[in-house]
Amino acid sequence: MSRSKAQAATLAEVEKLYIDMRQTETGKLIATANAGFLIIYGVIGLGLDRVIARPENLWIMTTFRIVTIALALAFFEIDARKPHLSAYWITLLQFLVNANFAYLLHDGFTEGPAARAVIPGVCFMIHALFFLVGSPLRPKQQWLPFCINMLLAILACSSDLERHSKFLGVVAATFVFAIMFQLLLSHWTARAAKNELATRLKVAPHELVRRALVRHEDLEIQLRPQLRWCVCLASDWRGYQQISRTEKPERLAEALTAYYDACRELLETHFPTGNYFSDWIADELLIYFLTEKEPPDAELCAQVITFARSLLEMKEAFAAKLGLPRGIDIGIASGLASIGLSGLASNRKVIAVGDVPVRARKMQGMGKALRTARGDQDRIIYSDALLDEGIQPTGALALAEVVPDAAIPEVIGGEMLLFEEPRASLAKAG
Amino acid sequence: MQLMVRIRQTANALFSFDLQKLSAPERAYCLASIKFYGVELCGWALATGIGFHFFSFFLDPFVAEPVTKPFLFWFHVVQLVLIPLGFLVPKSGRRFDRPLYCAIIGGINAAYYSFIIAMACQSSGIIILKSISVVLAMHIIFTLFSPYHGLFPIAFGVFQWLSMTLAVWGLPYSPALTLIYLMAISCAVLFQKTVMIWTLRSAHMEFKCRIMLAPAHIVAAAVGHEHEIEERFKPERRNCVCISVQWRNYDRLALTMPPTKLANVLADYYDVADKLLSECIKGGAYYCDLMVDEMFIFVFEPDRRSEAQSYSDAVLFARRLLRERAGRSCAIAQIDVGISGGEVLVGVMGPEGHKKTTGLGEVPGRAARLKSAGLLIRDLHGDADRLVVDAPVYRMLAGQSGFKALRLDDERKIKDLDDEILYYWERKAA
Repeated sequence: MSRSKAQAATLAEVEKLYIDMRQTETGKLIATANAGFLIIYGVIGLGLDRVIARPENLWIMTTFRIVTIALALAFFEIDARKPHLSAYWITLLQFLVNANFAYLLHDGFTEGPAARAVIPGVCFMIHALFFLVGSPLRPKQQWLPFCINMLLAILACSSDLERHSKFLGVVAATFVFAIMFQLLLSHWTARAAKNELATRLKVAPHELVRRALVRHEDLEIQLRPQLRWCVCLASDWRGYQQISRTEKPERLAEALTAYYDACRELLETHFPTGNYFSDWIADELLIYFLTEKEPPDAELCAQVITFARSLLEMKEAFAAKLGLPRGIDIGIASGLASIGLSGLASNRKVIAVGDVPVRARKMQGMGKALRTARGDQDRIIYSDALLDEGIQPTGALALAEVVPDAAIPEVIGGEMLLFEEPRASLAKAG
Repeated sequence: MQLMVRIRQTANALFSFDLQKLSAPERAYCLASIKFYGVELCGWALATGIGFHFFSFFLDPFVAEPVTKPFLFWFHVVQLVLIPLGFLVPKSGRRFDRPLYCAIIGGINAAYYSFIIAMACQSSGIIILKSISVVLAMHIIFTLFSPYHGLFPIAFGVFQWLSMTLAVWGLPYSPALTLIYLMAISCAVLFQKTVMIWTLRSAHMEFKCRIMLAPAHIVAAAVGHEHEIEERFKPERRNCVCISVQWRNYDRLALTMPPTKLANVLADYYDVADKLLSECIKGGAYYCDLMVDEMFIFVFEPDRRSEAQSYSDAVLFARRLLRERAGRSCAIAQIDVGISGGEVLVGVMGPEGHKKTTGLGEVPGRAARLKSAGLLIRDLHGDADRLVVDAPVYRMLAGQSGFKALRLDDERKIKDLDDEILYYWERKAA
């Protein structure tokens, strides 16, 4: 499977899971409403039966009402202990109610011509109500209960087809109406879920969202801030403020959007599993690469540096075409950060808190000093703390040579500043 | 007892939704969503109405009393003309819109059926039971799908109940029908509540997601599909005020404080900022973005009496932030704020998959530079929280006291800032 197809498949899978989760939530709401209604229905029905039921049927009806109330009450207990069973429980209860009516209708519920007239009407209404309130099951699971209920209605009317045939038509129309409503609600839920997911995927990595859905966890819970190992990449355009004063904002917007689009494509190529999330403000880009390994594995660090190299290459090609950005520096740091949904309550987003983003940004900021010390050149900068066998920098400088500030080594987390320059420029220099 | 507690908990968790606790834009969005889904429901209700009356042509010969048959036939004909016209009525935004049209059609249906019942009663005392059960079901359907919210469904239900009562006026009282009707009303109320809660929750979730993309005043007016927000708030040159805020000792804090503790300090700070933003900048006409220790806020001008009001609101926010944060966390040493204003290219932009509101041009950069001027002032006048503005902003704030002037010369120069004089307000540490 090609990369784009694999990504599309992952995204489709995530979307399916998300819709499923939202429909289950809607189903839960409907199931609770249904249980509430069945309790009211049972209590009122106890009084109603004394008025309309045949005396010999009264005990059946009373028993049925009490059982209905008890089972509806039990729903709340089941919902608390085994929530995944609650939708099936309420559907089962609907069958019980409909089966009981079917039996009574078949057997002759009440006496007299007036009663004969009212029975199909009531039966029709009950069927309609249950289906209007809705089955809490998801759309694909609704066809079986629908068929069984329809069968029950046919069976109920089969005792006197001549008399009940008219009402069979009404019941059928009601079922169609109810199913249409079900489909509408299901369509709404799916559409709302798709929109929500599309927005959420903009603020959290696909992998995090997918994991949350696979574990049936709420995204808010899954994305709550927690300590995670990560590698942070910070990048900034050089001379952006100057550019923003001279270039038209529309051109700048076009260039930034195209640049970040290219970054995204590059990210998708290098990290197809989506174990990252990114953020940007104006010219500043921050990308966090997540890992389960402690401390961040050398493999991920090497992957990030490979990605950074591609980013520099991409920038060269991009700048040749659009004239922007004039220069970029990339800083990389790794460590433990508190990552999750945070920020203003009215506008939360996934952010990382800790020394890692600070160090990555500082490292990127060192690019300015390195330009003075080593020439105007784009660089990938990291400290000796990140050094591993797989990572071979093209240059190294003692921090003290670059910046006199005594606090910087502490912030950087190492004594040496390691950097890489694009191969093309190295070849030119050689 | 425990079961009752469980029922109350489940019901509260599922059915409680306090609109009053939401901010004004959130509330506006949720209420607009009810109307939006109501309008969508109208299309569905009209289609169902056509199906119902078409189906009735075939059903009535079997179920209707001979005396009512011609009335019913012409009624269906008229309805089959009137209902499709509903699709030509504007969906919303006019005084006479589709929901109102649907409500009128629903009312006509209910009233006419009551008239038919009254007519049937003249010829047969028996038929009333059958007819009433059908009309009850009709009433439920009409009431349930009333696309309005608030008191309207209740008023609609009362109107239908009255028309029913008039139809059976003078006939012997039937307790059975009263109970059935009670059952139907319970179901209708429960259903209304369920759909209402579902809509409000979905809307609130949507709002919380969309607010990540655009300012609240734009989101509040953009109920519907996602592209509407991007379309409504596409990048355009708009007058706005930019506020740039930064902690001064964040780097050191990030190195010395455990990430989780730092995250808590940040969360506390964001809470204060969020509260103040909603209090100082009415209508949610702002957008806030964060990057590590920096906070960037765009204040827009809708619903403000004058351009100066935006500046005044922005300064009020900044001053209160500097004052009120003092009582919260002693971890933050100083905060610098820069405010600038003018024409900015602002709107939802960015790469596909990571769009958000941002502003480009000289003004946002100036705000950041003014904030950086805090460092220079600190060197000159010692530590304090400071708000720095440029001369144009200062002129807008005519009459506001407490600002001091700082003359910039060759020795005191700030990169990419040509101003000769800056103004600052400070809150000295206690």
